[in-house]
Amino acid sequence: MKSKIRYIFLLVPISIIVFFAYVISQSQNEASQPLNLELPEFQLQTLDNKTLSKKDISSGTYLINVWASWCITCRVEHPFLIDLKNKGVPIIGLNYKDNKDDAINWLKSFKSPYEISIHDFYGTLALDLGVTGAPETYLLKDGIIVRRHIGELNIEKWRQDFADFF
Amino acid sequence: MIPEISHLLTILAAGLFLFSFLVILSSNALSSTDSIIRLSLNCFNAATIFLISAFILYVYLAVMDDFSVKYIAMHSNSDLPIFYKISSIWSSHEGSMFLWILFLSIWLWLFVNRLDTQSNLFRYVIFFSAMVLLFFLLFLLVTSSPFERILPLAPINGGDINPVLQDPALVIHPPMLYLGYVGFAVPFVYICAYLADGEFRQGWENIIQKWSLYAWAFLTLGIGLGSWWAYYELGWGGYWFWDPVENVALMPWLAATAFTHSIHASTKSGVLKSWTLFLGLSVFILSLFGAFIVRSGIIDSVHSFANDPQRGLTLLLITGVIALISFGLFSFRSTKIVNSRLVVSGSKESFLSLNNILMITSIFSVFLGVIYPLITQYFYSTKVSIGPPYYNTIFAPLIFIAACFIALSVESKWQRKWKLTETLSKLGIPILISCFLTFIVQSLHQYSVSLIQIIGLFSGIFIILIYALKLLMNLVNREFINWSSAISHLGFGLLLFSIAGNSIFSYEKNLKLNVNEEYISEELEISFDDLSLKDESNHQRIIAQINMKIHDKIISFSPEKRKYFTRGQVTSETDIEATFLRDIYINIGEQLDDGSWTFRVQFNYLIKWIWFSILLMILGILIRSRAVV
Repeated sequence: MKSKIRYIFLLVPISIIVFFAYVISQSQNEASQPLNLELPEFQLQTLDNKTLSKKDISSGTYLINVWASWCITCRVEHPFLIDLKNKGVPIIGLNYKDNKDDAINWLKSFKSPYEISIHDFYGTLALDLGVTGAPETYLLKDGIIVRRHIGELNIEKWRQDFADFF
Repeated sequence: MIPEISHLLTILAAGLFLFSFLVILSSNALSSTDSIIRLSLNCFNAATIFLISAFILYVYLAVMDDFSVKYIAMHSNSDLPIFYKISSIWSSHEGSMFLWILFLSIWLWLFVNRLDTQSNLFRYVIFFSAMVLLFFLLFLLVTSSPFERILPLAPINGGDINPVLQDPALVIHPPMLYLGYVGFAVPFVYICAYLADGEFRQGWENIIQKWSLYAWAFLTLGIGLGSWWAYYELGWGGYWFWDPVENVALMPWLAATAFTHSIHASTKSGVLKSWTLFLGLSVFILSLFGAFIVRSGIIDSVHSFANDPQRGLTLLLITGVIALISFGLFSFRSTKIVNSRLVVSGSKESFLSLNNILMITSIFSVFLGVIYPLITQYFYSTKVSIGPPYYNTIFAPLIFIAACFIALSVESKWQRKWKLTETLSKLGIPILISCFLTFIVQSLHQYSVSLIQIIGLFSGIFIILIYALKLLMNLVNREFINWSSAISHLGFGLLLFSIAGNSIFSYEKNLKLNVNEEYISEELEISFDDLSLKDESNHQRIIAQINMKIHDKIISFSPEKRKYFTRGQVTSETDIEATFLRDIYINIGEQLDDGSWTFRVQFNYLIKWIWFSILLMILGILIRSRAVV
């Protein structure tokens, strides 16, 4: 084999690696882009049988956390949410497609991290929000959704995207 | 406690692989004595046994419903039958990675223990095997641990396996595929060792040929099972979709096919040695690349696991390091490789080298199809999707050329020049008959047939005919025949024929029917007779009763939709009526606002023949592997 041709066997893999490293770094940035969406109109019962609508939470800063008793990752996320609650972060639960009794039992046995928990049995508000599954967390600032995180919320994600607002 | 033991055993295995690797690294060629090599081998063996025990314990945890283990809690459920509890282990990223590494270690362990410890290459083989295993075990332990626990309060029940994956095919498709992917680690480590050693002794191909053939059989079976699963269970109504994940499985398969051909040429007549070495490395690197694409989540696909860029970056790093080490060795050492002979034009070797070139071209085309959407997305900010039209246009001519070369190569001899007139005179009649048959088959179809389909049909018929003639000659004249080659290539010809036939003759109808409503057309009548509800332990079934009258025969179907309680997911179960030539395939869709239901009725021709031809190819390879010492 000619001595120069052999470098191709190194150059090709190197360029492919660089290309994918670039793609991954880009897709990472994409995941945490800020949002600017208005909270959709809604009126739903909470788990403790009160009525909650958009205007009740359109001022101030809240986390909206989508959860369900059937969701295992929500169990994993739970201790971190309790930490946040203890630090004084107000969290509104969005109980998603869940049996009401199961949901209340869940909160009783693990301690509730939520100020209130909306019972969205049919997933109507979730649909308007664009929820893909549980858990999911939104940051609501004066009626505007500014951040969204799909999946378990943890300390790194919190520091990176959410902590500055509190 | 048991999860920790399993975790600890895995960590110990990683430590022992590291030790085994370091022992070899620290001993240079001169001072390496038998005892050092023995020490390293013992560590390697112990590590594999630890890893196997760790996996067995993990299977035990899954069977016993230990939901304190986060991964098991998320993917299993106590209501599942036992074999789904076990297969839930490979239903998602962490567990399937665990299985992948387990298979990798078992293949390499078997190989290392069958090698001669006195051989010069032995220490290099251990070195590279331990290195690859160490990298992946570290990846598993650091970024994707399946051992994490939910403590102190474990959930009472698990989150259930994805209903789409509750199918016997899940129990067997991923394991077969992984056995194929990682089976090529054996030729990979051996070729690395061969290049690192630098002495280039003869006869190295014999040691890995059989292993490569087995790995090829597993890989082909794995891909075939995946395609069968998509058709029967997932209700996709087809066998291949050029989905990115299918493509990244196809690339190693193409490379593996080229490799098994090329290694044959280098064993038989000492040519194409650099090609064989290069292809042997490429198969495993492409398998790793596939794992990276699927597990990094950069490409949207039904197969991809959760998006975790950090994980993707680590996997890219590992794949990159392994690729650079192996291709680096290749590019700096292979200049010294001398083929024992030159390739005579028109000899069997010359066709095998053309085959290599065609295969590399197809791999490159598939690769381009996979990365092109990424290039446009990240460099030009437009999203494009590359689908069947691209691949069909690329593959049809390549396959046509391949078919011509296969036909020409049948009569060619090792190391002997090719007699053009003699070969062509033998091929004249098969060409004419194939043209005629292609014409007949395509005229059975009332609508126009595209050029691509005709090329596919002709290529398939041509290859089948050539090998059928060969078999006939063997029966009549007792002429020599290479059975494995004849059967595999018959399988390949049949595959092309079935794919082309399937795309020409299949059609589908989308219907909208109310209960007790009928659809009547010239060739068939369909009536929707009943809709019933049934509750099962973990899901609810909606079953439609459909009667179809076709060619004066009445066939009843009961396609259903299932709603799974735990995840609220809805799946559809297809009903299929299969005959020799075609499948009638009914799939129930959505209920519309006016209460009617949509149905998809497909007439799939020759689809079973596709899987049959895949089995034929595997059979041919298995016959071949028995002939290899």
